[in-house]
Amino acid sequence: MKVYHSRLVTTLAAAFVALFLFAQYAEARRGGGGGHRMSRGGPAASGSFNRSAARPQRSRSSSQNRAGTTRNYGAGSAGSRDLSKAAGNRSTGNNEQRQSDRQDRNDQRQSDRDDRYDQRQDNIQDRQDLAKEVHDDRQDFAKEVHNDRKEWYEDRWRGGSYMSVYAWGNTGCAANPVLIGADRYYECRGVRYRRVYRGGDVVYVVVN
Amino acid sequence: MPHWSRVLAGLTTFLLLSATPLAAIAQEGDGESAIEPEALAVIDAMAKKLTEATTFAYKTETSYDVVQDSGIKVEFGGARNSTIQRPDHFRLDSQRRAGAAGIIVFDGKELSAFVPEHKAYATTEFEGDMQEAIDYLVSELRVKAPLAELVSPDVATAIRKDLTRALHLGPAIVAGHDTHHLLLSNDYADFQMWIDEGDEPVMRRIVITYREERGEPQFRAQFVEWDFSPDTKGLFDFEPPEDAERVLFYIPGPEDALDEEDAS
Repeated sequence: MKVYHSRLVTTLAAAFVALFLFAQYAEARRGGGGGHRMSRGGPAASGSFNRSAARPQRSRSSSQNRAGTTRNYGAGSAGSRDLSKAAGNRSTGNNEQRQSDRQDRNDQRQSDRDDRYDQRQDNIQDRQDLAKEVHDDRQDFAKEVHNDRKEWYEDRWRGGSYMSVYAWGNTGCAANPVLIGADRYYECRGVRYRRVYRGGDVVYVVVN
Repeated sequence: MPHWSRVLAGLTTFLLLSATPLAAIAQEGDGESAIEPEALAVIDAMAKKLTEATTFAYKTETSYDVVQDSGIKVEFGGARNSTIQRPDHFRLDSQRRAGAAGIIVFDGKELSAFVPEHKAYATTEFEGDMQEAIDYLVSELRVKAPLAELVSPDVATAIRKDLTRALHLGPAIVAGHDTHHLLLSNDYADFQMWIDEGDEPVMRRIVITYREERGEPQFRAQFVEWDFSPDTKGLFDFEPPEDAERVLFYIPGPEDALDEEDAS
């Protein structure tokens, strides 16, 4: 009987703790409030004359606009190659002449081969240069995007669940920040938060 | 036959008698959708005063309705001091009825928001004029900037834009000031404005009814004080207290409902 009661008490305590934690989590998810939960915003709060300002659409500011990088890769220099050969004087008068002609043709073929080889090497180099340029440009662009994102997130936090300062006060968790690098975090029952400025007030936004 | 004659005479009399009020109603109907030059002249006088002023400040008591899911309208509000120095400095000090006080300062280079009660401030670099900074506040940071039209570089255009109605309803006394009572409309909202008569035609009161929104909520502002030579020394230099925490600006994600945002 004693064992039964002990198990019952343990089960009830565990259920209570689970319910409490769930309630805290749900409070954080819905943003917390204070008093009666009700909407405090809306179009009339804008005090604006026009629909566009009363119901604004998000837009990236001019400071966030990245100047487009126009790259003209061109077609690559093919180089001009004169493949014409001087017309040989094909006199077949004697063997010596033929020998000389053969030698000339051999020289010419060798010269052509050398030319083609050089051209292939040039083309390979051109392609390598172009590939490197594209690669560098891509890296620059990625770095630019990365820097912009980094810069953007230096003073902004995008979306996520949060709770009001009032709701935070009701959690009973201390508002002692934990410093990680230069950033301050606040922990409550295993959930990590940051304080952010939201529409005129401070809220605790869930980080993990 | 005499009977028919009497009926005809009666009908004629009825038509003649009813013609006058019908005509009057028709005229009134036309008037309600008219743009009256007297009304525009009052707006233009106020716009000229505000556009020509390099530095000015005003204090307002504001309130607005929030239509709840149940359809019930609940009023929130607060007080706000706005100090403007054209072209690129402003400071807004606000105190909500049920919430924290807040300060927003723009000095032409940085936009800063400070909540003294929670010793927290957020700041971001922003280069541009006042209008661009306000647009940025509203569209990107989702901070409310009520009546931003009054600090526009072209106040007249900001107010007169897309007007479908502008009526001068006559004189009215508001908080001891003799005013012109105007009724304006565009395709989204109706505005009633009370603008001071005389040499200093400033806005004394405004009521905006968001006709196209559910429950037709209203925004109301009473202008308590206007100052066209305010002391701005150090007012735009934002220096957070040493023990204040620098926090990030929260940018609502796509899943965040705009209606859930608190107004500043």
